[in-house]
Amino acid sequence: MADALGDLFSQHPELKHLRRALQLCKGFGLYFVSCNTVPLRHELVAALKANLATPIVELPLNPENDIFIDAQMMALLADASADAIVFIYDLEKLYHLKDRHVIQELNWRREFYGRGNHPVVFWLPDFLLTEIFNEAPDFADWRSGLYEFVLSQPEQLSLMHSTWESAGENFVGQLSLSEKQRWIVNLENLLAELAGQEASKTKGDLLGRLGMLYDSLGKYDQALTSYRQSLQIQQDIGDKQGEGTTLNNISHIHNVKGDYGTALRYLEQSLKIQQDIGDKQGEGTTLNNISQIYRAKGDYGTALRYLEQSLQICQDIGDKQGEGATFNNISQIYDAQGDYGTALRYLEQSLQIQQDISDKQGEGVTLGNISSIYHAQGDYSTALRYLEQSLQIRQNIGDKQGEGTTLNNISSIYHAQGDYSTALRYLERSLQIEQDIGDKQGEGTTLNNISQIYRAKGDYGIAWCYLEKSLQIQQNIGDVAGECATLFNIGHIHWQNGEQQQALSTWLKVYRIAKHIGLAEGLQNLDELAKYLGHEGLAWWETLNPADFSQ
Amino acid sequence: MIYPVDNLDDAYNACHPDKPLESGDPRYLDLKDVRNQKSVNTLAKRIIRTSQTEDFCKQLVTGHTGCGKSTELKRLQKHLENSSYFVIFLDVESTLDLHQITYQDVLLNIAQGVIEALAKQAIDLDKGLLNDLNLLLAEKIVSKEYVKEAKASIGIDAQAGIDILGIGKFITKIMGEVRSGSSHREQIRERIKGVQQEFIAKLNDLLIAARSKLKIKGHADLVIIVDGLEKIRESATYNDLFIEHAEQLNEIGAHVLYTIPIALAFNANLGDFFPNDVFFMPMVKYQTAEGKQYLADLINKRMQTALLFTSPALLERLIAMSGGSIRDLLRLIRIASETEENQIKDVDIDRAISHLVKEFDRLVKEEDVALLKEIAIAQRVIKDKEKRYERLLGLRLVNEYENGKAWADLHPALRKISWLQAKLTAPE
Repeated sequence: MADALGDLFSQHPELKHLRRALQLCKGFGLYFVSCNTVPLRHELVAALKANLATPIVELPLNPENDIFIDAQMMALLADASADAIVFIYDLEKLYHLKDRHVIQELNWRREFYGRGNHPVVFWLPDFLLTEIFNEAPDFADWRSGLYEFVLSQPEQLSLMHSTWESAGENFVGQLSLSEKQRWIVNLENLLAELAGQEASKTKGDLLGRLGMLYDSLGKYDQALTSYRQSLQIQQDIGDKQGEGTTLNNISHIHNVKGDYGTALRYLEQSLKIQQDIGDKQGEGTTLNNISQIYRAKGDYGTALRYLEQSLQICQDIGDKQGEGATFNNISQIYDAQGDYGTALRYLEQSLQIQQDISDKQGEGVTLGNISSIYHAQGDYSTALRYLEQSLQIRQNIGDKQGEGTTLNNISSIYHAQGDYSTALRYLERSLQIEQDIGDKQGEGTTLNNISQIYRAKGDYGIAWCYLEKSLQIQQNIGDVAGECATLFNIGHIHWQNGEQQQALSTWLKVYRIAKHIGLAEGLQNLDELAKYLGHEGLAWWETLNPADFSQ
Repeated sequence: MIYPVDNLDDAYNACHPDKPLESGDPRYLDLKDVRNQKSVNTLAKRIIRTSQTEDFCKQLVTGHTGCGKSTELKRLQKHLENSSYFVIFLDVESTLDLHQITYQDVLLNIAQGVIEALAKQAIDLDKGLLNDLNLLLAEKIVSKEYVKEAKASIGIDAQAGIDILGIGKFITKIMGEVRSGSSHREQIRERIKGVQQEFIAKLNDLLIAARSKLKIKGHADLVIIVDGLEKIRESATYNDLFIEHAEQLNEIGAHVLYTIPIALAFNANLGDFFPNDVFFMPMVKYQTAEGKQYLADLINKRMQTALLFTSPALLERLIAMSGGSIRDLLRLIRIASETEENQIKDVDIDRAISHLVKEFDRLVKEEDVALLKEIAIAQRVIKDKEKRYERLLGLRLVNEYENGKAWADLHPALRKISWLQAKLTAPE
């Protein structure tokens, strides 16, 4: 033990000075420690505990605790001895939730930290310290010292790189919310350190990963900023392959936001680049993504043409994984058109390939799609069997996002059979996962689904509450297709409450959005609804005047 | 502790970058000779002279963070009190939300500060006056439900007449809402705005009464020092307070001294609203022999430097790196004292300086470089269109000195940042 500590002190000479400062400080003193990695922090804190006579009071900050940090500190100090030192951790967790406000609050509440009359040590990732120096200068100006403890940059880079690579393609899908936040902190730190250096492939890659993390958290604006910076670098240094990938990622954000035209433009740019440099695998992926846009717009013929091109490429270059994914996507076109037999044949081909090459991720998706065919045909027990297999796989490989989706699908089987309480249990599990991993888009969908259980039970008040929550999330993140689905259901609640004007007005809103972005699924639902209401079909919505419904 | 201290353990605690000296502290050193003969005595004289006329003195004070401003204001308070003035020192940093402060908040804080100070002196005010103020607050500024709830929570019978303690508590409660950013905040501000003239008139009635009571008790007059406003960060906020609402601040019937952010002092329009020159507390001219000596003396008052530094040249190195900022100098000494030895050595000085340089490196942005270069050449603050100079001054990347005329330079730590220095010295 003593040797290990001795090592740490010689490895990090600043540790000796920090300990000395804390020994010397009588009463209040403000100290900052820059430390980017949690394991290193644990080691340093343990060393200080073993080498300081005074007690240390630790305050890990938690986003759920909505009390001022200084107030939490004072509460902790109430029972502490007069010479205790306060260590505050995890400010970055609050920062990611509330952004700048957390920092500015330090500035205008700095007075309160001094009132405790104890030394206060903030342990922070380095980028956040820079933020504090810039955004809370009066607070920072009180510091007695700042102590930096770092892993070397190459050490950090290689550590991150190997972790990311070893987890495979769906790395982000396997992370919990706090793991994602930690990755974001690490990436931002590294990027800050690389800020003075020339543009490099590493930098472009790091920014791309940062974008993917933000994307998975529904923080689309931040994701877009990172992707754009990544793109700029890739264009500057001529990293064509990276550029193609980034263009694909950017298109995904526009896709979620319902801006299919822009999404398509990015994909076409990507396609052009990949064709120019002969990146066949990338080309296959992009063709698949293009097909998804046409599918969303209901242009199944064009979608199919792109998928056939993609299939050809995958077969030419022997990309089995891509082939499996493409078969899967082709099946979904037939599924959307109600040709379940053809859809099933493609899905079986896809499954075969994925099992042959052990593509677990793909298999989870395909099993889910097979189940939905049986579901559509009313064969609930077969549908359930496939979903259970899919769930098992997704849990085994830690695909949390996929697990949330599957739980949602299982619930819809119970819903269809009228077993509302079981359906609700699955939805609650799904919601829990989505909240744990910060999957906002999924959360919006699940809340919408929960509302439908209550609606089916005739409990319109509760259904309404869930719809409002869902709508708020979807509007916040800009998930336009999700918003359409939720508004559609809100219209139904109005209708059932006898509020016909509001119902029609809400549905008309859905019609206008769906028509504007070309959302096929939404338009199809509206077509059926119009017929149900005794009108000729989709065109009827066009005859309504929104001004008639102004409330 | 006996100053100057004779060991490093005590030296560490004799140098605090985080609290101003109280008036009368043995560590105080008057720096007026190196501040271009400017000291708070000048200010005291100005206030006393004005108080002998019918006018009220409205004085703005500014200076870089860490230049010793709060220490000097505490001395001003003492000086005025010795001349039998009654001084109310309001530290708004601990009572208001500087992030979103408005003139209404400041007016409320002044009302509260005056009432609290009078109550502390057991000076009571005319019942009618208190009732008027109470009515204005209860009927026009907060909602009826709120009055009931608030008065119940602080233990005041809403029906009975109100005394000075009661109204003090009531205003404190309202200010709590303003500070904490509760849902009542905007409502309270809107309503004060709606009855602004009446509110100021009532505040002035209060001040007239307070001043006459204080004069009976032998005080020459009342002076209010509002400290902390220099920490407002957003230019929109301080411009709104000191430019847009200068009129309201000027209407207050008492001598008031406000601290302002240094960037605001560079606003050419400020003089139209506040006729007195802004009192500018410059950095100590650490570049001159005299300035160096004063800063050394300042440290000598705290610690026995001959005993605690292996050579006098070491303290000189720290002074040269302080940029004349007392706070930076004290911090440098703190860091240098983090040694297991009994004396501060060369290596400790190296480490302290490299710490300060790295900390300043966090503040400099690529886009600041061009303006920094211009200022370094011109040796004065250059006001660029993007108002980047506000940031440079606020963060002390650029320090303002006085030498008969205004004079500015980069903080010396910036010269040690290698990437920046390379850009600053690169030919165009």
